[in-house]
Amino acid sequence: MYSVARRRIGCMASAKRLQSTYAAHNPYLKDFVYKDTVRVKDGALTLSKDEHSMIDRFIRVNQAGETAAVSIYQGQMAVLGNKGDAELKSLLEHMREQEVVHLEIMDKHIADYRVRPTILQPVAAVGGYILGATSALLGVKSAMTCTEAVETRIGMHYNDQLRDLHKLKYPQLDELKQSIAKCRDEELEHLDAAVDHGSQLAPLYKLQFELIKGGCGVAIWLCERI
Amino acid sequence: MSLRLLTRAAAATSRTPFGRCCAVQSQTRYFQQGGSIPEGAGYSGHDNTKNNTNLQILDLALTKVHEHGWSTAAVAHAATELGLSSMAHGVAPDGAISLISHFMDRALDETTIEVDDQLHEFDSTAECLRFICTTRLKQTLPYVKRWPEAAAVLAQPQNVPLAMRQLTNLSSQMWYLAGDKSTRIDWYARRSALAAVYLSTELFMCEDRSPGHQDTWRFLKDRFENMDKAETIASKTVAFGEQFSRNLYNILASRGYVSH
Repeated sequence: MYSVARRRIGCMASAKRLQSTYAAHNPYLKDFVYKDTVRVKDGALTLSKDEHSMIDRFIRVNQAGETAAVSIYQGQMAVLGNKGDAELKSLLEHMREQEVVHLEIMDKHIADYRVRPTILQPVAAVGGYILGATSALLGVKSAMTCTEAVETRIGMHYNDQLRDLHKLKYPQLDELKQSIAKCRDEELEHLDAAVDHGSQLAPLYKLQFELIKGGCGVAIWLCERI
Repeated sequence: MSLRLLTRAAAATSRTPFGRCCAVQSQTRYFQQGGSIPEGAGYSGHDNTKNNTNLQILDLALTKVHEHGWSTAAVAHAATELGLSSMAHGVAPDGAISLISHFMDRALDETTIEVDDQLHEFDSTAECLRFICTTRLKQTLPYVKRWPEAAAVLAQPQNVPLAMRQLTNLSSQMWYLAGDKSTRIDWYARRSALAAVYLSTELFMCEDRSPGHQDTWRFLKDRFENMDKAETIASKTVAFGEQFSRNLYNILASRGYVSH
């Protein structure tokens, strides 16, 4: 019974294999194995379709996330910038500049790895601005709570990505892994800065924190797919 | 049995359409030189099939398209010519659409190879793109008499998702070869514009009877000019909108309605 089942599964598997028909050992086309692989980084690396789709998803959502981060800080600065607190303004400005650098890194990865950017990228920009402005209207501490929630979620997200990327052992991917690690470290610095500036003393802290963290989760899920 | 297969395959070589893509020819020479299929061959440690008989059948089937059309009959005839059973038409599991899809993959691959060494000669991205588009259209030229049937098969509702995937893949690959590095929403605008240009030109080519298909190339040139003009108009509109809102903000600020 078991062997019959195994043979049936074997038949189905070979029928599936018939559909992908290109052999990698063709001497004329050694570098071209269409349908099953993708050449990225100007041909320096060849990934299988599954690996490329994973990296594609990661970089797509990272770019959308960094766009949103830049506009969150812009929104917060628009409301809190002219309150007269120079230290707060310089902090927000510093964090925004770091996010702009992250966004440039992600744009470069999109070009390198032939990633399709998400069509929700303008939505992420506008939504981030609205989130930043709204949280800042609720007060400085609420703005810090918003930052803390977003950075917590992003930290988790980058760690998950790094965990999955480390399973791929290509040396050409080291640059990507290092840049994601750098972004994660700076996001966690922002998290610490937000906590230092009183994010946990905001009114209805738990509610705000969980709401924004959940919203980030939904946004990440959408941007990975759309 | 395999030697007979290869001899027949060698005989069939001269008739296969894609010279440089031809697995049949190269595999024959490869085996004759004593090569063997390495175990677990493939990039990234993935094994892409242990033999490419399927590929030989499908490639040969493309040469049968003129007599038998895009159908499993062409695949079955190709299989019998290679000495296999005509039941091997199962390498095209969905029939006509599998053969057409195989042709499109092959044509794109051949375009990539052919264009590879000539890309640096062009000054602008638009010219480069037009050259790549022309090369891809020339891959369809040998089948132009039968292409309307293929277009009809691709338009069937059950095949539309595959056709869309192929078209977006084609469009994306052509822009990538032309050196596109867009990272924002214009990524989508460019690809849909190119897909529309390519599709309309391919359909025009099916009906074109001019000498050397010069009408097709002129049609393509006109479509590219439309595409450029549309992009220019769009960017000018955006720039106008930006300038307008900046001016408005300044006026309101000078009146004191917004804080500056």
